[in-house]
Amino acid sequence: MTTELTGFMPSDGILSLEGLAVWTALDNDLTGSVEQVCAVVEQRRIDNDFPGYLQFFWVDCKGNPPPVECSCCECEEPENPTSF
Amino acid sequence: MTPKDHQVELLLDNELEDLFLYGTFFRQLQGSMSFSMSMDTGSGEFGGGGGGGDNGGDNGNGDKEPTDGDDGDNGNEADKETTDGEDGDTGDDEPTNGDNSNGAPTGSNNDDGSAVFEKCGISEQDRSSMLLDMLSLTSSMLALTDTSAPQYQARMWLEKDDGAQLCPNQVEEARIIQRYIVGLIYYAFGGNNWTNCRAQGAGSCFQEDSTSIPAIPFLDASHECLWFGLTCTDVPREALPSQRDIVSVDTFSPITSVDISDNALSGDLFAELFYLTKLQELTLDGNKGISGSIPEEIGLLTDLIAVDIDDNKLSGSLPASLYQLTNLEAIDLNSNALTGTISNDIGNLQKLVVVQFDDNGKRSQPAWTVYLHIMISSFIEIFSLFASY
Repeated sequence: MTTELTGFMPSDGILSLEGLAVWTALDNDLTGSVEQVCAVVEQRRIDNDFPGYLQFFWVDCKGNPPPVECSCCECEEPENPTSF
Repeated sequence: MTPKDHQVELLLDNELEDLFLYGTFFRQLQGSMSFSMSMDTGSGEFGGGGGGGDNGGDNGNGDKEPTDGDDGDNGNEADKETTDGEDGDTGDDEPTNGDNSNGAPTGSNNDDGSAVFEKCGISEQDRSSMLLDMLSLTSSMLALTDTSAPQYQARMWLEKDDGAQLCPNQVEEARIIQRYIVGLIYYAFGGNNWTNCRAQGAGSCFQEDSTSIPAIPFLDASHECLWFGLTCTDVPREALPSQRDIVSVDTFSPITSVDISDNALSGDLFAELFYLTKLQELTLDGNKGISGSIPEEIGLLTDLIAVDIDDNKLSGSLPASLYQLTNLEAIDLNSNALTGTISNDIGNLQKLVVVQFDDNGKRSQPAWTVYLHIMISSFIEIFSLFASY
């Protein structure tokens, strides 16, 4: 029996939270993709919209496929931290 | 007075009694509970079934009475309830029994020999029954009469040992329920094992953010708004001792913050806590022993701004009602054993600024994540300072 949060990272929900500054969900078993979130973060930085939006967005990319993808964001493997 | 007038007066008396027993405030509260009933699995339980497991019904509360106005059962059971033989049987957590040092009530006798509770002008037995009826609005009768349940212990403290000596009337109903719930915080979370501010042998008792003004331990005869870790509307968080008398023990002021961190609290998160419906802040982080699931009743806390229960043993899934707390700005549920999914409905919470769900697998944390948490904590503190201005 798993003792972690599972299922897809709620990207749509995260994207609708325009005042969100911190989202961390490390060391769980969440799956899915956050590429869209990362793209929006980048665009909002470029446009200087919502200046504080997701200053910290930490998710992990462990687990079986489909892993959480976080190409724009900090990403942590269980044993070997890697920053993208 | 005509016989008809007399009948009308009796009818009004009965209606007043109904109001008294099932006051407006808690009827409204129970009415608002219907949403969680519908969101629940259809089991018809809230407050959770009695004891043991991991899910919402496991807070040792027993089955909560339904909210459909089926109040008669409570009254009947209350009428049967007597106080005989219950003294002193409040378990290991009983901090004040016997010595009456907390200003516990005294009484005289009626002509028929029954004890009178002088402050309230009613018999002790009637007061006991009325209190039981009131408390049954938040806890199940099963839990309130089970001598091993914290609900029973909190009830017995309120009835017999509480120096505030509250009278069960309509005016004090909300106050009685609130005081019962904070008493339940003590009993349900192992108050006698807390590291700070135990009811007895407390030693130092200071608010976490102050070392200058001693806090008042739980279960004190003073107003609960002055107790360690609690904040109420219109009551300064750090009332000086000279100011404390201005907070009448009979005044109702709703609790807006429960902040008891790093104090070795242990036990299941109980549904009644969420009947403190004016709560804006619920901070129980770092206690390492708070278990059970997050009850659906958290949806009652529509004013809630911040919930921080990280570093505990919470299990089960996130309740659907969490996604209805549209004033929430911060959620910290790091380092628990939560399961299930995070819904996209989290997007309903448009005021969210900080969300932390790290480490719900209870693995050991690598050092760098500790560093990350320090960074985020600093960020949150800065944000809090900014928000307070």
